[in-house]
Amino acid sequence: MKHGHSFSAKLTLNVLALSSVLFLVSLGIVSYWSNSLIFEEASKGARNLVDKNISEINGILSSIEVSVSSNAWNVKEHLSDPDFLYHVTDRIVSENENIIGSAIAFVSNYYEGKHFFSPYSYREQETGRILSKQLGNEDYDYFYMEWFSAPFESGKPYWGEPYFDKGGGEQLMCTYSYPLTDSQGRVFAIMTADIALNWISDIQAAMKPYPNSTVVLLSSIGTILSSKSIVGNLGENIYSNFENSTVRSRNVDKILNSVLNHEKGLMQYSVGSDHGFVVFGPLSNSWVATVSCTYSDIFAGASRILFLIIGIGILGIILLFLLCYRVIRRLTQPLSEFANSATEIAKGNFESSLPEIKSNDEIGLLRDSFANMQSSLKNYIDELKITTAANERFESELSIANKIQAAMLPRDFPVSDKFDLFACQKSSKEVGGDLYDFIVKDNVCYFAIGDVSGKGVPASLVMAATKAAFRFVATLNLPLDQMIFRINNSLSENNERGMFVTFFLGRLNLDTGLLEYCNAGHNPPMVTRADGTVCKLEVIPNLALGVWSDFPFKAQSAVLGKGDRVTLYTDGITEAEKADGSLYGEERLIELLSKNRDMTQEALCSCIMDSVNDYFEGRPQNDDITLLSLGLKR
Amino acid sequence: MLVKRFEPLEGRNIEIIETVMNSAEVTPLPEDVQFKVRLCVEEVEENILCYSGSTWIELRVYVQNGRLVISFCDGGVEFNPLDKEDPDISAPLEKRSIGGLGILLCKKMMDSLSYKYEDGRNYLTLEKKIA
Amino acid sequence: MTVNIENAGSKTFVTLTGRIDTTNAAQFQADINPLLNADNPDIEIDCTDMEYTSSQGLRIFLILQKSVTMKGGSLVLKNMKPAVKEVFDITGFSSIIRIV
Repeated sequence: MKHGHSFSAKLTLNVLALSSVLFLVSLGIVSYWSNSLIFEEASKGARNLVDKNISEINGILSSIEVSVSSNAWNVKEHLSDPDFLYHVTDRIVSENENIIGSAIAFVSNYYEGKHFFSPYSYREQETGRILSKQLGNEDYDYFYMEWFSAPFESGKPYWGEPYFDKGGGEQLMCTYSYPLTDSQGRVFAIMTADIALNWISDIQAAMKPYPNSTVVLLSSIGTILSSKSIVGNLGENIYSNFENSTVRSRNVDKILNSVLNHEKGLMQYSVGSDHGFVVFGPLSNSWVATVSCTYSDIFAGASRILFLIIGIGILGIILLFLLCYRVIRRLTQPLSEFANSATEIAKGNFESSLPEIKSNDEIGLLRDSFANMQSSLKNYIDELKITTAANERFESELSIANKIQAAMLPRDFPVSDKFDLFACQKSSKEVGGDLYDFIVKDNVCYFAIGDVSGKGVPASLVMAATKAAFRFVATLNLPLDQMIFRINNSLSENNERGMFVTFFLGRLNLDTGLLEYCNAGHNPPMVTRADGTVCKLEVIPNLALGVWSDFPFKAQSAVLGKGDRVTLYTDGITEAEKADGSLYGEERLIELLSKNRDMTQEALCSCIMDSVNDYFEGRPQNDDITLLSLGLKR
Repeated sequence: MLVKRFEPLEGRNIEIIETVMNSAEVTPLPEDVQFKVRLCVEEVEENILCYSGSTWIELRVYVQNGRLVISFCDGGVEFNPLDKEDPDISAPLEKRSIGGLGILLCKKMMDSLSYKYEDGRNYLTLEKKIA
Repeated sequence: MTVNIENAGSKTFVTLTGRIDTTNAAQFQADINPLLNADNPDIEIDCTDMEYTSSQGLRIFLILQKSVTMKGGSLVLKNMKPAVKEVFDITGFSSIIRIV
């Protein structure tokens, strides 16, 4: 039974292995493809975000620039009325709520006797009222301030580096400076707008695309303008933060460099276990807006789905395995039943029933072939039994017939000083019904030879009956034609089978040499005279025994001299066949008889037998060979 | 051996011939031999039917020692067809007759013909070598 | 035995098909009667399909030959089968009837 199981299991495992492989491969492909899409989406989204961020902040920045620059003419108009300038700064502050303070700082002694002249308006934090005052004094020497010196020297508007306002509540602030130039192109005053940068953090905060994303705005030298984030706190320098940081890698350096160079782009980073990408782009004032996204965030959803799919897949495969195994087991169940049936049949039990299969598939076909084989086998064995039994019967019949035949043939051959007689027989495979017999009574020797038609046991029985009739009739001392008449009738009476016997009956008077004989359809015997001449005895053929009852056989007579002999034989000798179909024939026999005229009958018989045996050349004997020879001694 | 008795004989001459020709002993023989057998059987039984006055014919056919043996027995008058002299087959046309031609054919076409009469029965036996 | 007689001018062509034995000898005799009645018969008999003849058949051929000879005509038998020819030979009929 182990075999059956492992076959099902093998089949199932093969199926599952294949389906698992296919599943994993497709999963891999889909996964990769969808991840690319997700990345695309995320990066696009981040870029859009950055762009949006940039344009939003740019908008605010430019509104501030415009607020200031649009009032430049106003200042230039009212240069002679210094007090009026407070109105301008008021206006700047009040018009733009982002502007916290605005000043117009003149160069030293633009107005006579005034070293510092800087009308300044500001929004009071708590009340929101707009106040104004003079900005510059000995404590606040604005000529050295960057917001003055930079635009003064370059002659161009200048966005200053953010700074913390110590005076007004620790906010991160930034000043936009706009230089005013006279007709000769010399800067005579700087118009400023101070803005708080807290709104940046608000904008940034609202923009986070993913939970772990960082949206950071940097100044042109890397000051962090957004609120606390992973890269540092507000006001800290991102470069110095990273310089000090232990977490550092090449790709981070690359990103920082690009940012430092005010480039626009997307770069991937991996810092420790943190992987993601950063999108960055410059603002109009050389500030840089950045958005970073971690891969864990981006692919979080996808990963979840992937795990789900794998989980379902594994579950499915297990289920499939169980189902498959059971189904295959059930389907191949007949195979082990077939094996059992085959074992049964091998034992000889041809009636054993086959498993019931109704399906039209290969298993059904197997069953049909099996059933066919079973019934063919059964029929074949049955026929074989019959044939074997018949053969055995035939064999036993054959041996019975052989035994009867052997028993019928006398072997104590008479030898006297007057004559000698010898006879021999060699049966062929198929028992015919050759017979010979002889009786020596007083000075007379009765002898006979016969050939029964047919084969097997019936022929042997007719042979026995003929011999019995001969023996009986020999006691009666009748003329030969009457003797044979009686023998014939005893055979013809109960001859339903239509059997007949060719027969030669002879009676030799050992003293006188008178040979009386009667032939019944047999081939005439050969007479060898003392001088060696051989001739066929002249016979009236008559008819074989058993053909007509009361048939009037005609006997004949001849005379044998001393040294003569008469040799009776059956046609098994003359009809002996060689391989090429040629027959032994009478000539050879005559030659042998003539050459060996002085032999004893026994020697002659074995000589003839040997000659005939040799003639066969190893081929099987085709008919019984019988010889009887008797001769008067010299 | 074929053993058959025909009694009565009216209109059965073809039947007798066919019985011999269809026997197991005759059917395997070559055509030319069968031709001769048929002819001889026809002549013999015609003789018997015409001249013997017998009401029955018995037939025996057997093969032994390479010879086909056909033996007719009838209960008619003693009639030995072999007794008669053969007709003169070299006689000129005017002197020719039909009588005895049948037996002549049998004698020539068969290897031996023998006749016996005993106890009111005629026995006529034809033999032909077939092997 | 089928006897087919065709007269073509002075010659008569006869075709024999089948066998002549004791059963149909009388019929055969009747069939060839017309040949016996013709004057100066010049008869050609085609024996290609003549399968067999017994002494009864011979008798009829003898009568025919005698009749033809008496009338001074000619009779010839053609294309005889060897087995049948042997019958004519044994009985010496080959020397009284022309066989080709």
